[in-house]
Amino acid sequence: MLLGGAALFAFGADYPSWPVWLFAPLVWWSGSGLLIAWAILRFLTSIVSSDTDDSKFKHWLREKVIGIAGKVFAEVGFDEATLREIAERAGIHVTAVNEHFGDKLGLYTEVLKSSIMAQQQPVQNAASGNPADPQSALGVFICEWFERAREGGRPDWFAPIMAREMARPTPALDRVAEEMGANYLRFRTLVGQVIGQDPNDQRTRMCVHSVVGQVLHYMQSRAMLARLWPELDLNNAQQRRAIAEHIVTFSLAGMENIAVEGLGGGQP
Amino acid sequence: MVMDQSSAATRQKLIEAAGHVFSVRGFHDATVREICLRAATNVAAVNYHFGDKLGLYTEVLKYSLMAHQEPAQNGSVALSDPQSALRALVGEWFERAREGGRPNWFPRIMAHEMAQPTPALDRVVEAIQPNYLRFSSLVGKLIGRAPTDAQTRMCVHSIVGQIVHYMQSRAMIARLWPEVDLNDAQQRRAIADHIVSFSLAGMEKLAAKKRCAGDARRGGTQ
Repeated sequence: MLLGGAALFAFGADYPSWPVWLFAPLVWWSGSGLLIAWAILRFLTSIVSSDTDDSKFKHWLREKVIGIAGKVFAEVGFDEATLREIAERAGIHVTAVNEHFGDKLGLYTEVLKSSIMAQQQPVQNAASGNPADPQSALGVFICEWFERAREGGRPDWFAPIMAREMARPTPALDRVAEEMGANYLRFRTLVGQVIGQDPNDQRTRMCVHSVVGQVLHYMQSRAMLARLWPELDLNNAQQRRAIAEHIVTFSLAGMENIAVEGLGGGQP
Repeated sequence: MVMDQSSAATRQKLIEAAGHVFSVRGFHDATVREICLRAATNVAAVNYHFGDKLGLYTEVLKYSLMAHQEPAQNGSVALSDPQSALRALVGEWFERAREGGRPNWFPRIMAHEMAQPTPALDRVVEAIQPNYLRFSSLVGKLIGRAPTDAQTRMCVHSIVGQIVHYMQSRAMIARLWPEVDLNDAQQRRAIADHIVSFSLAGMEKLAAKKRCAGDARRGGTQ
């Protein structure tokens, strides 16, 4: 009985509506006043701390749902995916998904954002680097991005989702592109410094996309690359490093060439 | 197999119809019946021309991918002047970036294929391998290395990545850089020229590095 009461008090903290007080005299009678004091204390602290526990739980659930949704969207595409299936695979009720993300488009937007934005940190680091040496900042950025693209970019479903999205854009792409605008400008500013041009200059933009194209190629065309170049192993850190360094050398040389042309009177 | 005209036309109709159906349904959910209905032919025609669904799908992938592989064959003619050959090749390939340069179902089929590769991808890669090697030889010549050297491969994919980016990420580029219009011939040429100059400078740097390393090695062994 004593143990039962204790257990009830312990769990009672999560269910304050439980008629725990019915058992109080019993426990009191058995001389466990301390136990009651402890239970009351636990109950009170749980009220105080429930807010942070709750938000931690919400964050965990959110990440879990995004992870599962990523897989589902990658497998069947935005049109065919259903919130019901995603909720089922996450082991929660579909209303919980609605509560967190609104509708399917809302959830999909978050999935797209999380896969693209996970790769955005390096450009922010690079932009806050030493402005006197944009070449090094760009080199560090490319290497970091290449690494992150593999590890933090949720590689399993990032590529298929992006491929589907590029083939048939949804309204989510506009929202994501809007959020990327600031980092895109940071990157253009950095490249502009390297070639001595304005961030909005066409030459700057073309250089930016020459770098982006080289990096993304190793993610977006992975299935093709594996077949054309069997020795390539992106799980090998040394090979990744060699490729990232190649892209840096190749791109800096390309940009240097354009910078020199720029000094000579610009492009027709 | 010599095909008469109507047979060739049926084949082409089937590829077009299948391209559309596969792009909407994906390989697994598409049915030969629906494709035939769309192409106004019977199932026997599919069996005759392609064997089965996978055979048809493989041809659809090849048909859309090989379109941009053809320039590589022209490029091999001018190996004596690899720089001009590269310029011509990139220019021709980039022409595919315009709308209508490829069937409009192509990106969606590739999206399905990258999401869930089918056995067709292996067969398609086999088919494009000769052009890939030709391109690798051209790039190898530019940097003074063997076609299968890792340095050559990285240069090849630096160039391919730049070109393919404008096609694969077209939707994103359009949003980030609204002024770019790949249907404008002049802009296409400007971008293709940029990719060539950028890449030639990159390769020149790598070739120079190799020369320096070679000189140093020769100097060191004396």
